[in-house]
Amino acid sequence: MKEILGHYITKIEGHGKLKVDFSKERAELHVDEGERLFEGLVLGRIYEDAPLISARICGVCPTAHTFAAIDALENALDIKVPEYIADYRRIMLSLQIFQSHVLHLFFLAAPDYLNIDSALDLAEKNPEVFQIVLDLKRLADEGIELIGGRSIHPVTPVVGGFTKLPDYRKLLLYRNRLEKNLVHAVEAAKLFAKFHYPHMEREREYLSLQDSSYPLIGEEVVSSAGKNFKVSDYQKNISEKVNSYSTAKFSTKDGKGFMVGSIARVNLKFQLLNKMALEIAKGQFPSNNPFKNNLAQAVEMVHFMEEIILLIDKVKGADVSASRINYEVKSGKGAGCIEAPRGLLFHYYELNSKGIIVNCDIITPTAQNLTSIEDDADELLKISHHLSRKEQERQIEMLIRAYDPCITCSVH
Amino acid sequence: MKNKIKVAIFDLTDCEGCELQFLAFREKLLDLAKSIEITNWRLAKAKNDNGPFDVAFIEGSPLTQDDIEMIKEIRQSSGAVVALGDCASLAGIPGIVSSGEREALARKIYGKNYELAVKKVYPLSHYINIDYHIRGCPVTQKELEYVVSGLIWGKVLSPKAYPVCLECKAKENHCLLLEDKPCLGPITKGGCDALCPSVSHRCYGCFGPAKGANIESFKKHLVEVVGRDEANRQMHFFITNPSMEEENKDPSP
Repeated sequence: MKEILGHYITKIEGHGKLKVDFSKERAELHVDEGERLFEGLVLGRIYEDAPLISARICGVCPTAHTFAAIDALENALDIKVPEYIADYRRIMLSLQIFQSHVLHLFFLAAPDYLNIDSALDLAEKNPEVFQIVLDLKRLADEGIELIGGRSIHPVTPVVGGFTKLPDYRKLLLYRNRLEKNLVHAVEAAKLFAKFHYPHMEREREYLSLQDSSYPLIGEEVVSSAGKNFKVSDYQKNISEKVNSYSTAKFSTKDGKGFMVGSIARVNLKFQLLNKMALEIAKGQFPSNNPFKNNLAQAVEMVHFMEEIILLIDKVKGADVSASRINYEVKSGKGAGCIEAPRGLLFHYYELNSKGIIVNCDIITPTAQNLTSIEDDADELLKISHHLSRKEQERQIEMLIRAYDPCITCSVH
Repeated sequence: MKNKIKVAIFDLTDCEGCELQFLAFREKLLDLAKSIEITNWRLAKAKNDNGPFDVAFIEGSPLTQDDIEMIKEIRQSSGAVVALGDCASLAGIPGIVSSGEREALARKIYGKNYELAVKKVYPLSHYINIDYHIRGCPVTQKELEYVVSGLIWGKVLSPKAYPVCLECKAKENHCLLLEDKPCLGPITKGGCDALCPSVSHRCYGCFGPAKGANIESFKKHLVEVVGRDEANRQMHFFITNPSMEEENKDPSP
């Protein structure tokens, strides 16, 4: 068992092994997750199954997959939902990023910077911080449960809206709890501003969605290199390649790696951050240090808590008994894209006249980041000669973790 | 308690949603830490023991050779093995297609020469003996708590033998079937507290088949409501799949 288990990188979502060739200064991320073939599993099934099935791609970001599928299907069926339904979706997407960031920041990434084995050790070493972490985890889980029915693999979101929306009074109680916890979240996020991040800088292209506010959902992708493109043209702009050592495909744009996710969003849309988040981010971004993705996540955790409060105030008075709209099932094709916790998540479906799925394509954020992860690992090897090989490997693992890769998503 | 129970949590190929329910225990994790010691959990710890374990929870489907080799070793080094969630217990979502379809889909997705490491998706029980099954996609914290506390106190665990309808009736929900709408409540194992029907969504069976459910008879009714093709699709989600049909039994009685 040691043989098999010892090689997997711990505290990341899914199974990956790091292979370093020190003489060539080359690192490879071997993705060893089995193939579940989600793009194939949905073929021949009714469109309504796509959000339910694709949520199972990932237990950390199921809500993101649910809404990416719904967005693509509504584009295929020419459905436009009313603003309050779109706002409830924004609340859910914000909750998803909040939930995933809390998990990654404190349970997976923080031990690297605090030199502890596991976040559970915080309970003894820093019980006050641990209590904040537990409170934030509870808030995030319960928020998704309140609107989605359960915190993992939500059931209420459907094409056209929600099967049911919660009583606004419950949402208001939740809003007030969020507000009370905001100050603790800021405190916890500031820890990440104090951490010592290994020094490395590498220029690369960053991508995020263009949105009316800080990015969550949209029809255009913005690029730090100025090469924006429409979501519907994503297949022309992002190429996927199969590597022999990986069951995940590696994405490139214009033949090169690029980065999506928290640091990309903060770098590109810094000025749209909410007030308290902006305070923490000031002077730290834009940054080309991938380790600082963790700080960007901490900033976003605060931003999205603030955002959920604003959105709950905004949906006040909406008639939630009309939680979904009627529409016609017809043939069509459509791409959709949302900001998942780890970045751009593309879903694409083609339907026949009965609403049966005949084609599907999914590109996840981690698949998009894989090329950049390997390029950064190579760079890190080049600038860390003074360290022992063991320490170099530890830093690369830390780098991989800083990206918050979701290996199960990347294979799907 | 002098000797803490040594617990391991393993994940094979899957979404990791079930094991996250352990983290959702939150404060209870600290209480649990008084009686159990988690000695292997790749997702949450850097230092992991290789056993022996008193109890091993295994989540996910064995879809790589590593997965298959690992579960055999886990079986040898563990007192009890618990299948955590539908992927482990029933072959889950990856199991909804046959091995032939899997090969064709893999070539479509990865290219024409692509070879799958594991062609057919089986539940854990195909490879090793399982002591207890926790169903659900994902499993509920309530059931996890029941199992973990049972292990601590040495209770005999008994799986829930009733369908979702029982919980749905207790919540006084309107019956979707009586409105001629599809719902898999009568043949689906309970434990979710009738989550979906309570939010006006049909039950799609994510706790797998209920013990003793008359699946064939129910399917006849479902065909009348949604037609044969859609009835087949709805059944081939969590209620039945090619490996359950091949082995001609529910792997988690």
